[in-house]
Amino acid sequence: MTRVFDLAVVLGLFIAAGGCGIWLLDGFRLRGNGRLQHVLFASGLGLGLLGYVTFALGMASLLRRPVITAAYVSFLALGLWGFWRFWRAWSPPPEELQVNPSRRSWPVWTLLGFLGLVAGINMLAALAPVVGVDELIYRLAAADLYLRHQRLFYIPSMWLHQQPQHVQMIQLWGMSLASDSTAQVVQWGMGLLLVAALVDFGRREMPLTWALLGAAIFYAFSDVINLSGRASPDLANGLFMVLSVFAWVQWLESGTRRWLILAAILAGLFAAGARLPGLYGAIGLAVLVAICTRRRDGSHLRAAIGAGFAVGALAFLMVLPWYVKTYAQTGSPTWPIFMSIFGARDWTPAANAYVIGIQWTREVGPWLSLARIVTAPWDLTMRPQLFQSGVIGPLVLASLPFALVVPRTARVSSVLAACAVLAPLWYVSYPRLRAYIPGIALLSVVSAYLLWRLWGRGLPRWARALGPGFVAVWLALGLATAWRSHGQAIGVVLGAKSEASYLTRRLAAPDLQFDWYGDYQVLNRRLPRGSRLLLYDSRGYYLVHDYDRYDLIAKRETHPERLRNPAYVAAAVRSLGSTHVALRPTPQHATGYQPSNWLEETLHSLCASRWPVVYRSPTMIVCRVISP
Amino acid sequence: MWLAMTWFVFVNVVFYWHLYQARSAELTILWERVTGVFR
Repeated sequence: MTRVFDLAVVLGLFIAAGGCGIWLLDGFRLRGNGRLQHVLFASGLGLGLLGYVTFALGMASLLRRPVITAAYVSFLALGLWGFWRFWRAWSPPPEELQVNPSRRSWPVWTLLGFLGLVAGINMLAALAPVVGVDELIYRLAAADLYLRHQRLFYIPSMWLHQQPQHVQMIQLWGMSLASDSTAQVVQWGMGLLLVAALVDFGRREMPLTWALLGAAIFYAFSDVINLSGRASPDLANGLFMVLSVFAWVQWLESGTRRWLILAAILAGLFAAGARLPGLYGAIGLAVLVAICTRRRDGSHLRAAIGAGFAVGALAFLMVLPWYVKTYAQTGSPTWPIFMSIFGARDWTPAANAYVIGIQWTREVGPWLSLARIVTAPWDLTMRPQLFQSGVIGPLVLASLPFALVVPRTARVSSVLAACAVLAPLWYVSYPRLRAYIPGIALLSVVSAYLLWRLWGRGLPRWARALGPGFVAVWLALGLATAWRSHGQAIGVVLGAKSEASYLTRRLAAPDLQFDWYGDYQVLNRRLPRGSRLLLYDSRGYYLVHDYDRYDLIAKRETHPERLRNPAYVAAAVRSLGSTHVALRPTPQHATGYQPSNWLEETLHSLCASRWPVVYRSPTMIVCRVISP
Repeated sequence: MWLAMTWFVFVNVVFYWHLYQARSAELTILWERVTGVFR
């Protein structure tokens, strides 16, 4: 019953967003190319708008369930009204494409069946309890604390929570009204909207079968399958940026500048979605607008740059509230990045350099070296683990050279150009494939288009056999990936096992390596209300008590050698308001930042000598902080 | 055209060869390896 309620709440959220988006598009006097495209643009716009509502409520300390419920019902009513008006009043524009029902041949049904099956598996996984690493560290952990405290506030030990988190604000609606799994269902739903947008675009350029094939190639990408069952924001972000590119294409075709306003807003939502490097989408859009203004209208270079700058500035306005909020709470708009320029509250330069260095270099190596750049397309396909990324499959890389030998429509060429501009900006900013989901999605449709054009030519018999064979194997692999990724989660959703046993086993699996879930359940019961823990692990999501991470003390310590002094460390722990310290049974020395290791040793010595141990298990010890 | 078609077959064959190689290595299959580092 909880799962059905989760689904209903998210469905209502999407209806509210779509309907409100329709009102907004009416305000801009914009009409999509067909009903489906109009609703998709409206949904992207509306979901972005709803994110600002929870953001504003959070800044005003009004993240209370009655307030959110009242807002939800109001927006749902407005959304239903918007849809009702839209359905009654819509008259198709002359260029609207009607899909011929006779085209729904067996390949169409097969591909629809594939998309439906993978979507169904992903949906069941999305309804399962949250297990993702980043979700438990800060994505949902921060959202959970915001709801607990009814406001957006500064959490010094979560170093990524101050980056723009607009998708998190969309997820707050469901988290407040239903279970936290709705945060995953929102991602699943926005991923499906993205697939629908790809099919809608593709069916104008090629037969429906091939448009569906493009979407299926994308939906078999292992990152997309993984993310469809998780609360990480990349699919939502992908939807914003793909819609932005389509709005830009609408501007190219119609010349109506209001489309650029929509494109800029959506690119701004992409920038605000999840992380600072998301700004690459808005920069790419500004570059595209400048180039096209110059080429199409023959405008002066200065005027073309001005047009690009105006679009970029509008996109920047969408993300500006996040920078202002971060500045207000920390004194730096990009906390804790760019410490040398803006400073960073609660960080020393050495700790900052170490942690940022891990994030940007250690995970993927020297990705800006010439050799890595030249081999990147090959490596991203064949060895995606070099970029901490999922398996994109061979079809995109294999089919792109056909773009040089088959004719392309203007729209396909535009989309290809957009991918070409976005790719280098993405690569230098954050080279994980999940951050380039808009590009991967668009390239999947382009691949299907190129294969279709090729298919129309007189191919030799071996090619006509081998081509569909490769496609079928990739889709089968996608289905296997979906099952392999989500099989355990589906078991708990269907009631084959309990949530507790699923979470205990799944979280301790080698890919997550978190074996404190059972300990947290004991601490939730045993520790008195109002307890505040200092945790060794970064994942505190399943605790009902407030918490900080232990390395906060090390990160802001200007004289690290003092962390070897038990009396000094005890005072630092008390100054955080911590009542208990939770550690591994023995020191781990797991970090390369030596002051954190000294701190860990000192905390262990305090637990062994001065502070009483109140809980002990094979995986954790907890001691109570007492005054000297 | 023939060059592009050869490239198409080559990339597909190498990709699935990589999958096969990953399967015979200590980590069972490529997507599992990816899941291991996926955050």
